[in-house]
Amino acid sequence: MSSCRAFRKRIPEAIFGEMAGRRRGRFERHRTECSLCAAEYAEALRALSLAGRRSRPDPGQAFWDGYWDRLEARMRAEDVSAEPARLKAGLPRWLAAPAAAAALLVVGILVGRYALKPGPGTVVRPGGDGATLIPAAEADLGTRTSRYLDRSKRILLAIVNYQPGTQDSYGLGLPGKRAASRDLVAEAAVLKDDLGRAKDRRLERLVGDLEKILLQIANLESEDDLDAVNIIKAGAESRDLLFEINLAELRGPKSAGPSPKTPASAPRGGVPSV
Amino acid sequence: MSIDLGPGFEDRLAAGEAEAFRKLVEAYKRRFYGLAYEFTRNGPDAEDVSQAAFIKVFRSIRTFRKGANLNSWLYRIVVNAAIDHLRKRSFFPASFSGAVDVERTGPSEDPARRAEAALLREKIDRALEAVSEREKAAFLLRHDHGLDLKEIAEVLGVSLGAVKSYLFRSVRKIQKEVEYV
Repeated sequence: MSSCRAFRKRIPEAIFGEMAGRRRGRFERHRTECSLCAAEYAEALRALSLAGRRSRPDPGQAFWDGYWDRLEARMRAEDVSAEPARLKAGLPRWLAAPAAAAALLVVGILVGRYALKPGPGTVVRPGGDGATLIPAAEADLGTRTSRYLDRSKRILLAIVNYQPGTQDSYGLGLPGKRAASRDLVAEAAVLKDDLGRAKDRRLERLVGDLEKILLQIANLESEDDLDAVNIIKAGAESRDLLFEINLAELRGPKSAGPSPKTPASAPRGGVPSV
Repeated sequence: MSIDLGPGFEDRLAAGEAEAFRKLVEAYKRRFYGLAYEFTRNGPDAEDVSQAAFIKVFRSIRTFRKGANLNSWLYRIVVNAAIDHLRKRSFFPASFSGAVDVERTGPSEDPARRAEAALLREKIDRALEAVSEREKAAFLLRHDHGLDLKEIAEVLGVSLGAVKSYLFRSVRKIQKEVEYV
């Protein structure tokens, strides 16, 4: 069944001659073995041949003969002139990109050195890739967990509501979702650790479950990969992740076990209500 | 399918040589007009869009990256011009007649064939109305203009996988529309 679905998705590719080698071999083998798919292929071929026979615009030779004159007249009327070449007087074009990158790097170093010095309200959190600076307010486990769940929820909602067959995949914004998922996966290890120390097993398990789904989203190659999207949806649904997140948000701060990284007066390991 | 305009053509074009620009217009005017027509569905608008695209080419030719694919770059400009035009037109729908006008397939064709071509045009138009602008562009660029998938991906600024699925969806729509023809 899934090979039929994959076959049908590739029909235009095959008809337009954009398939070769082993893929083509597999495609042709399936076509000879499955009569339904062979019929589908023939139907698509026929449709494209009919599309090629539709009437085309042909405004006539006089139109084409005068095309340049009309274009030229319009360009004159609009006073069209070519834009100057970039940095023509200064740098050669091949040097423009490295020069811009170097300038940005210098600005970045200066901003980092003078404008982003850690303030008094900042704590340093050790991480796998070196120390991470986080604001003191964010060091609060409850706030961090709440933000983590909120960000995860947004990504999950986008994926769960995405309909690959009917929706324009561009609207999903997969590259952004992938990057955000990668960040969250990286953050999950530290967060689980902290939740474990705060003995908040429920949230620790939820973050662990989210981590697995987010990892799949981070590795999603294309929004059109129907099978992968469906696996992610099924995973999220089987673990009731959205429900669990909503429940965690409703429950608010956990009463048991203070977070080792938070002062005694701060909210504990649970999630503050949003 | 790109047009070979001779060795060193891109350099001459980038240098602002008037003769090179004219040669480009002569080579691409039917393609630009044809593609614009598919989006606008009427002759005057198609000419307006194709001219706007050529003007854009003239204005920005010096920003064209040497060694890049000129064909994809040109198609990118005309597709964007057509989509811009449609978006502007959606604010003023009264100016759109919606009818396929006096243009024809060619005087030598017999009436039966012309009627069949007109019917197919209507059905394909309806199918392409039902897909997104990108899906429509992907289909037209592949089917009518012979661009390969990689070129289409460059024109639309999307991945190869996305182009494949655009084609899949547009072909499915067309298939349904012409099922009983």
